Amino acid sequence: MTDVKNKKSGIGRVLGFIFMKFIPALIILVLIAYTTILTLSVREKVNHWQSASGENGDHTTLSQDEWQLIRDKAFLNARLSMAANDSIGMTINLQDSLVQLEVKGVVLKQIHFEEAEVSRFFKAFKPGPYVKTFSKPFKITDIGGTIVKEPITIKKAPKDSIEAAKNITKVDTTKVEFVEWHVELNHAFLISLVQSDHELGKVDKTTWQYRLNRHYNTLNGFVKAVKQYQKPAYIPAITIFIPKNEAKSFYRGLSRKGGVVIRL
Amino acid sequence: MDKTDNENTLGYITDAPALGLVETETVPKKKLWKKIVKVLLVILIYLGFVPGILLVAPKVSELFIPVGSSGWHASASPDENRMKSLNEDLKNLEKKVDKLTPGNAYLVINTTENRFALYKNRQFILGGICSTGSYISLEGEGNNKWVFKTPRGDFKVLGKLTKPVWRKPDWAFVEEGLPIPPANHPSRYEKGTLGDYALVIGNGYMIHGTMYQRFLGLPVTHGCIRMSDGDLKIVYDTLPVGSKVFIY
Repeated sequence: MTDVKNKKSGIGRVLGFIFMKFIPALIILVLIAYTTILTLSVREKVNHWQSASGENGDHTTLSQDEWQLIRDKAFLNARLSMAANDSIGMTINLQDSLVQLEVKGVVLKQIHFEEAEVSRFFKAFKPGPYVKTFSKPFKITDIGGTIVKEPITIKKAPKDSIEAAKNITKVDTTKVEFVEWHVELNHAFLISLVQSDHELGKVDKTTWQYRLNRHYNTLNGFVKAVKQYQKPAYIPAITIFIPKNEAKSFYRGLSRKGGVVIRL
Repeated sequence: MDKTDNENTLGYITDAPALGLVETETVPKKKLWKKIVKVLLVILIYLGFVPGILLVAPKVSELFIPVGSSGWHASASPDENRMKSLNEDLKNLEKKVDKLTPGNAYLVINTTENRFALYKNRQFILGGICSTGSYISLEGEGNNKWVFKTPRGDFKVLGKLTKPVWRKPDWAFVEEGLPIPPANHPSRYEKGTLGDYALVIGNGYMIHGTMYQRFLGLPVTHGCIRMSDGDLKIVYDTLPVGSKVFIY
């Protein structure tokens, strides 16, 4: 009996050590290592984008007024460039808190937003790289959201007029959904538009699935990077909160072939 | 240290008063709290792993990014020549961008909200509800398939019609479960269905009236844009042939 007790307490001690000490220590180590590697990845990305311009931006001496004008000029240049495209594009003006849908330079829809979360990465741009990066529209490399972009319903043709009369499609106006979507630009930046008015639809199952899916992709990327002894990818993001109807209109209106212009 | 018979599994001395060890009870209590805190901490570490990877690590990493003008040199006084040149460039660019917006009348249709906005001389003059494509994909016999969606992009008013007559396409018969008649069969022509006016925007799509006013504001059409009689009259009168129609 005593041997069995000792054996059990021995196994208990080993398990206790594994679950109470070893694994927690390992988790902390992984977190520290991951944060360190990600910090290096962030630095690398900052350096990559800062060296985007041929000139050395470090030696530029500018006043705040000039810096403002430079950003305005880059924004207008990018909008003009986007106007050459036939597809519907989007402009994000963080200076004036405006999001617009545009086609051929004509503003189709404009919304003023109250809340936005901007990654610190975007605040690090020097004038030279800024002009080089933001004077042209970004290409959309991925787009997805909690709602479908084209809500197509498949309907079989009725056999006769009696069946046709029975199968009249009614529009469902009672459907409550939470609108949240993202667009990835040039495989480098991420823009998210999230419904700001929660009373018009709470975060639902679809939204959780969408968010989990995005987190899964991030974790997957992390695991892949670890396996290949590479730094995990860092994608700076801008999240904008706008009313539900606007978020929906922007998502459905924005063309996959359209560009996105950003003014920081 | 071996447990005595007077100790329970948690290390409490049950017969402490009898043994004259009343003071010692506080020490195991502290140990118990330590154990609880330790277990909670371990649970927190386990639960915090995924949020740590997804949320905390990126935030912490970003803290090391130098922001603002710290990476380049900001001066208090602007360079006059550079400012002048920049201001001139900006004026020219603003002119170019402004020119892109039509000076005459144009119409903007929002297919998601089923709303329209009419502009003239760059001023908003009328807005309201309309009906656009239902996004129904009708599948007929064989490979026949029709998707009832309003196309997006920029269009022009190619023609204007009063008292338009609807020439029913094949899908109108398929949808009603009727046999498709020959191309110019009289059953294809319907008066009054399209309202009093129609503006042709190409590829068979039109902006027209409707007999089903109660459905305005809902996506119920086969791709055309339906408006109320009153709004349609104003739109018809305001938009000359050649005017732009933007649909998103």
